[in-house]
Amino acid sequence: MEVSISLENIGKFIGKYSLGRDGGRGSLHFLRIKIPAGIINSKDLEEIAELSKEYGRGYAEITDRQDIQLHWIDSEKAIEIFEKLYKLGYTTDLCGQGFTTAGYGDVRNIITCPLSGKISKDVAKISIKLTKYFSGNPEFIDLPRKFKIAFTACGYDCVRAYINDLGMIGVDDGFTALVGGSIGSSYPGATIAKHLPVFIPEKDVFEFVKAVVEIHRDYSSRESKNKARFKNLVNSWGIEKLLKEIEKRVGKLERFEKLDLKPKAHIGVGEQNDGKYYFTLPIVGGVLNDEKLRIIASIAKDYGSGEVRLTPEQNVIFVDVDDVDSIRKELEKHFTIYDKESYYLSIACPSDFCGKTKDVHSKDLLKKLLTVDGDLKIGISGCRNACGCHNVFDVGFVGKLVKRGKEIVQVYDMFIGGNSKLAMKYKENLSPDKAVEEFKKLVNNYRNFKASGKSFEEFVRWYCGVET
Amino acid sequence: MELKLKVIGENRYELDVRGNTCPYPQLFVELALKRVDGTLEVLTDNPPSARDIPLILERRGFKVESKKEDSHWRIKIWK
Repeated sequence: MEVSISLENIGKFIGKYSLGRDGGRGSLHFLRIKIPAGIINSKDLEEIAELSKEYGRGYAEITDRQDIQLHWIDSEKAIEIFEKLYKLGYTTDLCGQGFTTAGYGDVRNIITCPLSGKISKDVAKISIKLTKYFSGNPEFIDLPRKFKIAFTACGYDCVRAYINDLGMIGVDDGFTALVGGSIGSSYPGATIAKHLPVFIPEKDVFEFVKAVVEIHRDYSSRESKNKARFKNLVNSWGIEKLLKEIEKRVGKLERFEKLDLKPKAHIGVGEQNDGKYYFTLPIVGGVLNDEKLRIIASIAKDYGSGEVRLTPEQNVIFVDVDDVDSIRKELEKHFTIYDKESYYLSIACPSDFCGKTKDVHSKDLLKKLLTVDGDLKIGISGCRNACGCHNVFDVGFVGKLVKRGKEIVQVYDMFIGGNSKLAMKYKENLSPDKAVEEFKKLVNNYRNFKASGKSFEEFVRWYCGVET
Repeated sequence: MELKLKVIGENRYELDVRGNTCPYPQLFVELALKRVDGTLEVLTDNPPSARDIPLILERRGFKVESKKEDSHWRIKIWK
């Protein structure tokens, strides 16, 4: 016998909204708001600032997938918050990572070139269309595991396409693709994406992306969570078999072998195609608060078109700016505008909230390392899930907890020589102080080496005494 | 959309919310508790919900017992 109970107004949120699990700083839940293509207008930014103030102790952070993440969310207030996001038209990641089995994976926020349409082809349109299509779509919210997509067409890999499940790279009047990237520890370990050597005409790109996600849904392992990421399927099938399956769904695709893609983040100031300017505000570790969100919204309105772009480096780019000097002066009243590139290029995960690290947490370690005078790109992850991309940056640190005597202490493994390829492990089990010391040593050595006109890559080979 | 509560005995009901992430298991339990008296047994495979449901309901004066069964938890709730 059964009793039926109406879901009242909760039904409309299922599949589109959820809370994630926190376990640090007294926070039990986070809310990761997807900002499609990382583009947000000042009005919506103000609304999110209000949510942060009312429900998240005024804290907010930009993630490396261009989301805005709040913490300290009370699950008893979840429906109230979802209702507000629903009215604004935003959705959240579905946090299926809590499940121990393969399943309940969703398509995460699609990383998009933060200067899309401003200095290059507008890929944000298709990225937003796809985000809306996948979010809450019952056919795509029980994937074997999460699926990560990136889009760019500026001529560089500014979206870390090489570590996404599917990276769409603009070429000529269409795209080519990278497949099967993922740097977390799940089987078969950190993997750089492979080129799928085909040309996808712009008019077919929606169906192409949909087909690849369907293949992940239909064929990635459901037997084990550890084996359920798309990289495992790509590795076991190989590129030719994958291509055959894609072509079964979207038709024959023209071959496109040549892909020369260099990583490059959009930072600093530059001219847009329309003669206006963009201006980057560096946000260390992406950490903001409701007041700063409001200031950003107001400056975007007063000095630009009111639109800002969140970047995969956890920064904010103001677009459509007429007067660069004035916006800088205004921003300097509220923020520190660093000149060193490392402040713009480095990232760290929120390990202080997920509870997987003790002091010193990822973002705190990043702050310490950035005070060292070296222009290197630093990535810090609290654990081997690699949310801070430690294994693909110039210098990376990954945290772990080890037993020393009777105490459990925080240590970091140090990686060097990443940047669109996998870095090599250089040192293990460094205390946070020792990590800073090793970093200083590396920076000093690199400074001397660089003076002779050599690259960081050559330095890494020399410093480690091996090929990377 | 609606939830189905299985009657498993006299004043005993089972609510299977497996496959749902936070905060839904907790919300579904609250809806169910509004409708039934007696003992509610909830099945969830979402670890944060297995953590949160006992915390919140004990705060509200319910008695709660949680037991891990294979890949899910069975959480018994009564007054």
